[in-house]
Amino acid sequence: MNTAIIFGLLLALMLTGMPISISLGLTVLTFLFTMTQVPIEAVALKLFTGIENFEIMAIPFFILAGNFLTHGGVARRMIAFATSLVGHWHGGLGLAGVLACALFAAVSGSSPATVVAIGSIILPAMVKAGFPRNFGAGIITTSGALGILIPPSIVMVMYSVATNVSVGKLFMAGVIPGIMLAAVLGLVTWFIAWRKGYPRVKIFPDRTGGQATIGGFFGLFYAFVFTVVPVWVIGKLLGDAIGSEGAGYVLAGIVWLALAPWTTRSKMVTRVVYVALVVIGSPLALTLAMSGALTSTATLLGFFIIASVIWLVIIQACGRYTRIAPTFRFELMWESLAVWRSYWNSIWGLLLILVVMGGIYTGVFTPTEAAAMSAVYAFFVAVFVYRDMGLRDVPKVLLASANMSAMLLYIITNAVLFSFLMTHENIPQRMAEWMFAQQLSPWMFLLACNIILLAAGNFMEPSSIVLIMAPILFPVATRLGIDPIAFGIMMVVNMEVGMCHPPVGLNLYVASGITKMGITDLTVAVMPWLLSMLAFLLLITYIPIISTWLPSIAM
Amino acid sequence: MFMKILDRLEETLISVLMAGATLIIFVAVVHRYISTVPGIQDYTIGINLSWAQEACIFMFVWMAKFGAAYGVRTGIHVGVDVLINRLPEKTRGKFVIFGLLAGALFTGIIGTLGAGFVWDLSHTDQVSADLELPKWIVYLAIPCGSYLMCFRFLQVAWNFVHTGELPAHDHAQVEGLEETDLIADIARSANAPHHGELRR
Repeated sequence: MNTAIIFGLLLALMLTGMPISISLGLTVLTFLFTMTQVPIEAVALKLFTGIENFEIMAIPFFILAGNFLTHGGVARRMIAFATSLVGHWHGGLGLAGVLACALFAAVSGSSPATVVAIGSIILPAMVKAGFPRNFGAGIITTSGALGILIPPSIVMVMYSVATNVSVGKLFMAGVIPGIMLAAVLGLVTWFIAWRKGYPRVKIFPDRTGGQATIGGFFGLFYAFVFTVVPVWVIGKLLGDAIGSEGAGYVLAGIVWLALAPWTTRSKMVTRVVYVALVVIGSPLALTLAMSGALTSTATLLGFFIIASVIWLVIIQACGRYTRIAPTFRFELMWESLAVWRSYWNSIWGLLLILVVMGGIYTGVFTPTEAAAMSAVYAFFVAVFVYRDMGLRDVPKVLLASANMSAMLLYIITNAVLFSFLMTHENIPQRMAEWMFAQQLSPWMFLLACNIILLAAGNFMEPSSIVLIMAPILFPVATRLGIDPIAFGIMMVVNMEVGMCHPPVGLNLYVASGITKMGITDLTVAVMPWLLSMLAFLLLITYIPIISTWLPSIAM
Repeated sequence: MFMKILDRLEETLISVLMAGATLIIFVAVVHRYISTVPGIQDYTIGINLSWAQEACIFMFVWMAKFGAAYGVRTGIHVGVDVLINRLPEKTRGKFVIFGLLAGALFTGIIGTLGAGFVWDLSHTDQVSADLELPKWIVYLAIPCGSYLMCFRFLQVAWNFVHTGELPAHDHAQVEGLEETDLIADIARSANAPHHGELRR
């Protein structure tokens, strides 16, 4: 009975259009004033202690970091990197959009922010390049949703607040589903573009697709080797000298970054690194890897020589075909140079992924500390490294971030109040009992959850849904033996779907603001991607190992 | 005049709290790692930063309370407006007023409850765990923030009645982004001999 009154009142208040936080709060107050004997002072105390929790403080930090990255030119450089890598394929700029969204999602925790950051740059470029407007809008609206699936993610922090599941584990769990969803969206994009014959972007005219592809991948390989190997080798040596391995790597990384402007401009350095790391290094690494199987020095030496020759022939053959590396000149040209340069331009943004995920994974930071570090780092990069933003703009960014985070924290405060009322009335437990008594099998329960959450996505935005629904559904899920982490990821993917369709899909409104397209047109435009996302949701729901595998081996 | 000062004060307060909390946590983390390095250790070990976490929480709670009031003014608190947006203009207006007044009522009640709570606390000598601040000062954020928010709701309602305008937060608006020629930029960065073009 009480349950019906509470939810009826909440629903009625919400439908009048008042802020969700206020309707939650008023429901609690009405109920407490009229029906129970809970000391009313406890409510006032809860309003403060409800968010007196260090985990929650990750939310304002991530919002601040995201705003600095959006205004500070990090998004633009990530787009350039993605375009130089995949732009020449079918639906090129669209694929670049998906990749750029995935990259930006790995430094930002919010979906609409990702849509704004990537969409406002790549959508005009796509229209200019001759793509239909609705194609680009569909891609960015749905790919922007990766923002809350690929860690860091504000919605995951909310889920963790509501259910006490570890934020770090949730972040880990989001990595593989995030990459998979990006691949799915990319595939849909590629397929549509291929069927409809959309333009391919060529950075350099008179180069064939095959040349560009090999060139791009070679650039990526070179970039990878250039970044990882020196830091690894120097870091190991330094680490042995200092006695602390972690400090060694960090120091080596800083030294290498400090040398960056010089090393990337000098042709000599490029050539030396090319010969040392790619031409000699790759077969050497292969030989070292084989040293377990081949014991004698002579066979190892022989193996190294043969591997070197084969490798050299492959590079030279590719180089001749693609004209990226003419015979024995050992330098980067064309696409490989474009990829390499744009990669190095965006290295500061990409490094943030390492700071956040590496920091949390190795236990150097707690998630909240990682969020604070990434905010300071993003400020530093935006103002002092890329200089796309002056110190004058900082107060504006601070104010906008404070505004957004205060809104979210206010919802949390009132949601905590609401769940306090629910626990006081034993509602989650009774619901769990009831559902358990219905003999629901786990798969039916999961299906029901998906339907409820998708329906809720029609009315509310993700933070509120997670904060209201998670405390109710979570106890049932745990009793049915569903993995808490997989359940969280499922909720997050559900929220993503909700953000991409009307009436309240925030991504849709943001994309509509950028493209100046009507909501109805946009709704049709996102359909192919949205449907594939729903298929992906089913996959995530019923194959929990996708989410649970990485946290189980990593932590 | 008074309104302008209040607006400025509100904006400055939440921006400063945001920046301050970030800096405090940053310094605390750096301090924790520097203190493991021999040599520097001797200088930093004397500084005690164990209060940083608590300070950060208090600053963010204050930021949240006053920021929520600022958010009323900027229209960032969203509700389920799907239904009422389909109603005729006049009926919709009534619902909007109802929503705003409900907001004022809720924040007013909370402010009063909070004020009573703080009043009771101020007669005790409870202090916070790490900073050892008197608790009533810390909890002062509830009545102050809530009353300010209540005032903002009334202000917005007043403006709506008189002008028919509601503040609306535009998520799509980003300043400081200019349109650049993406492909040409990439090509230039690679010292391209030619300008980019498209192939069908």
